[in-house]
Amino acid sequence: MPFVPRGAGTGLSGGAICDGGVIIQLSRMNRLLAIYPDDCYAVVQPGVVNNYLNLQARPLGLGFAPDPSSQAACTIGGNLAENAGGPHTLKYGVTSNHVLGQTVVFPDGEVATYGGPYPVRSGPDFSTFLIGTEGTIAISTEIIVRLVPLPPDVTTMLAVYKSVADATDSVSAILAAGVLPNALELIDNLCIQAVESHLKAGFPMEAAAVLLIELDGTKQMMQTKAETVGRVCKSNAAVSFSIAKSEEERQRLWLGRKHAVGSLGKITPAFYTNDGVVPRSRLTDIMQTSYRIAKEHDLSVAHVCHAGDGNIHPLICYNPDESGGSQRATACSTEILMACIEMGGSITGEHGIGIEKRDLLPQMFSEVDLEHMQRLRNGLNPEGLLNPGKIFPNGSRCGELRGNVSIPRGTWI
Amino acid sequence: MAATHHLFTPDNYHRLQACIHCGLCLASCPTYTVNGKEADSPRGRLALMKYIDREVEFDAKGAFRHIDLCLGCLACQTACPSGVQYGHLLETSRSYQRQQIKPLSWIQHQLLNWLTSHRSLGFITGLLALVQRLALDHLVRALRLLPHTLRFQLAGMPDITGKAFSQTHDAVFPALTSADEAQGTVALFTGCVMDHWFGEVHAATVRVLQWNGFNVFVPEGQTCCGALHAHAGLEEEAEDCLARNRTAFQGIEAQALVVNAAGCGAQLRTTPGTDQDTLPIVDISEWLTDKLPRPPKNKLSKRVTYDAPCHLYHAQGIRDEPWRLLELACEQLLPLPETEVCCGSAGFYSLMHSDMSQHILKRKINHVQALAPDILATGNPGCHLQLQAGLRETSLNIPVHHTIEVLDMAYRLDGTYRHAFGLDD
Ligand SMILES: Cc1cc2nc3c(=O)[nH]c(=O)nc-3n(C[C@H](O)[C@H](O)[C@H](O)COP(=O)(O)OP(=O)(O)OC[C@H]3O[C@@H](n4cnc5c(N)ncnc54)[C@H](O)[C@@H]3O)c2cc1C
Ligand code: SF4
Ligand code: SF4
Repeated sequence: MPFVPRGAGTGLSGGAICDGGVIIQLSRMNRLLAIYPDDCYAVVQPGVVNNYLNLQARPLGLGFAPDPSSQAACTIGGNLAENAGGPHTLKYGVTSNHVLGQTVVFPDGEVATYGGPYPVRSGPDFSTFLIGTEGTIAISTEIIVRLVPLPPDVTTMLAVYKSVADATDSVSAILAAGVLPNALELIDNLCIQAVESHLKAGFPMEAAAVLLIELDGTKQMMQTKAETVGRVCKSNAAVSFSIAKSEEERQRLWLGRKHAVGSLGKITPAFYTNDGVVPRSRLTDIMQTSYRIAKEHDLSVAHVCHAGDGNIHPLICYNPDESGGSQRATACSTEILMACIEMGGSITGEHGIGIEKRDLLPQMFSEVDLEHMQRLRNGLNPEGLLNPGKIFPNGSRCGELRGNVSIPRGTWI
Repeated sequence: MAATHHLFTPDNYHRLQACIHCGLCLASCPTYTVNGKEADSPRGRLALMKYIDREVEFDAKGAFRHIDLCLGCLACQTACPSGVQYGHLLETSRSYQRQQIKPLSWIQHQLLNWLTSHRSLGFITGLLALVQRLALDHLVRALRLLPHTLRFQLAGMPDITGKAFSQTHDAVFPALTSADEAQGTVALFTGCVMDHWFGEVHAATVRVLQWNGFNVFVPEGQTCCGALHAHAGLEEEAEDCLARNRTAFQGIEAQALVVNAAGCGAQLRTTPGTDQDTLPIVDISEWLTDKLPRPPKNKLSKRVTYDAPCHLYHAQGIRDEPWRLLELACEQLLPLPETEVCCGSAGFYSLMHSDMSQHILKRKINHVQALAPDILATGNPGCHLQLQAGLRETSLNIPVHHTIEVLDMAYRLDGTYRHAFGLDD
């Protein structure tokens, strides 16, 4: 019988759903086993919630850097399996940069340990082995994560634009000016409408797009950098540029960003979250393309983007009860992903392949690439009982998912 | 697919669809925090409601076991970015459950009626007063004579006089200020359990209002707010309570109806049909925050902490106001970690699901124990009983008081206040 590991079920590509078989719910393995503040690492069970780890580490001046917007709910095990990122990925990297080692259980019950708490290593490095494999090879049962010292100070800025292209042009310009923000996020008008309808985060309703930019470091360091950012934004036609004056204002802006995706439920019966990536230099192109494709499908689309990473999240609004509604949304999303690939990008930045994008994988990898990946997986999951039907397209050796999954694509949990 | 709804109207089904399965509510749900089961999370419960509504051959009875285990604390509603009206969907589901799946058991139904009707409550209260006078409650607890669930409830009881507030006091209380400081007239909602067991809270509420220039009166003919009925899925009975209250409040001349029990306030103000324009329904803490021309002259030299009732914090969105009042009343106010998390009382929940309730309470008591305050303040009778019982069972000698009682205590440090109300001895 197939079995599927599941953390908090916030994954967006259908990785943790199971059509017949057993779900191994890991959310109860939620013990934070130890924090070693001097050596900057923690040992956790996979069901520990990302936010909880951060709350426990904060009084010690430390934090777990990957901060997906779902961090109030998602688990470290899920973060590892999806190689999750977040707004602060731009400066601090994704989950694989913050896992030092882990203990895993293979489908036949064998237990193995990779990596360890030591920060430097030479020789074969298996510490990040299995990260991002979406629970298709082994189940993580204990994870050693790196904790990073919290920055002495942060500055959060908001730049407001009348056109999306001005905002996306600013993104590359900021980095070209030699500033590496720890976060550089874009939110467009439709998303702003959704957020402001219930949160009052402070995004102007008439803006075509806003950039949320954050710097960290000492006050002096940040002051000159903030000035540079302000200058660059203004020279790229920002209609306003402001720095959050209080911690409360800062928190409000971030709450607005973190609730952006969820808030969309207020303005549409359903939406499909796309996770395309392009090289940063093509950000302006892909945004225009995304709006155009949605228009061609007669759908509206909202965007939140980890703009600094070139990771876009077009949120395609549709009505599942309308006949053909979800098919149109899916077709629209696929077209946007194909455009990403054409621009030299990828079909997923952080939500994984799951069931959702497995059929698109051959667009990104050659047959030989795919063959090798599957040999590895089939070698370690020989009966294909662990999380079958995920990641690899039809024709893979493992058990395929039967029939259509009744939950609409894009809302898989 | 042709839509056949078993449970919801199309409108409510639309409300259900607002759930986008994002899971941002999971961490705020006390039952999911305890057992980590998807089916006992808000997202899981909403999914079950959807299946009950849409699927023909679905084990609705089994599904309702998970919906039964929901506290109705509405923490998920606060956390949800998508605006899912969980409370409304929950009550609709429970009402359907009572009509179609499983009626309330006879004993549960009786218990509910006994505790919400003045006549039977009067009898129970008289009995409880006698039990307390003879210290039988201590005996019962010491000798473990009753099942734990009942002993636990006894442990939380306040000192009971035996008579309801509304039976022992006038219906009208004049403002105790000069005419130029007068602020008008408010009506007081007395409720059922509050009236019989928490007369002291009503007395303190009235005193503070009078002292600050309000005439207070208790409208005749009012009855239980119906919250317990509504939460149990007894829609008709809840509507009946509401109708009687509507009649009682019809045409009364007051600036507001002041409520000092979070659960009653939430029920009265969020139920359609109560006219907020002609008679706003307000919680005492909300009403007083900007209407205290005579704040206490002295502060209590005590360490006080505050546990937020869910029906104040989540259902009514009243979060800072009680804290503002307590700031005026005490020297040291300590923030309680997870103050917005349910204490596990939730009306009859502590009786029906005592295991889960105790788990949730334990966490709360641990937080209180770590702070070691002199007083724990709150603002709802259910929470009051639950917290007091939890503290006593843990042998912690920390009294629980309503926020308004703490404010009244601060006022009572002042001789003129005591004198005005004849509280000198
Ligand atoms: C509102 C919202 C915002 C989001 N924002 C972001 C974001 O900014 N960045 C981002 O990267 N993602 C984001 N996500 C996606 C998702 O939250 C992340 O992928 C997260 O890491 C998933 O964690 P989870 O615990 O919910 O895992 P689940 O959804 O339960 O599982 C995801 C996958 O991991 C596997 N898995 C889970 N636990 C284990 C384990 N212990 N061992 C092996 N395999 C396991 C499952 O089989 C499944 O394939 C967002 C999701 C939502 C709903
Ligand atoms: S937070 Fe709201 S939308 Fe998200 S799963 Fe919970 S109820 Fe559904
Ligand atoms: S009302 Fe409370 S117990 Fe019920 S699902 Fe929501 S958070 Fe959980």
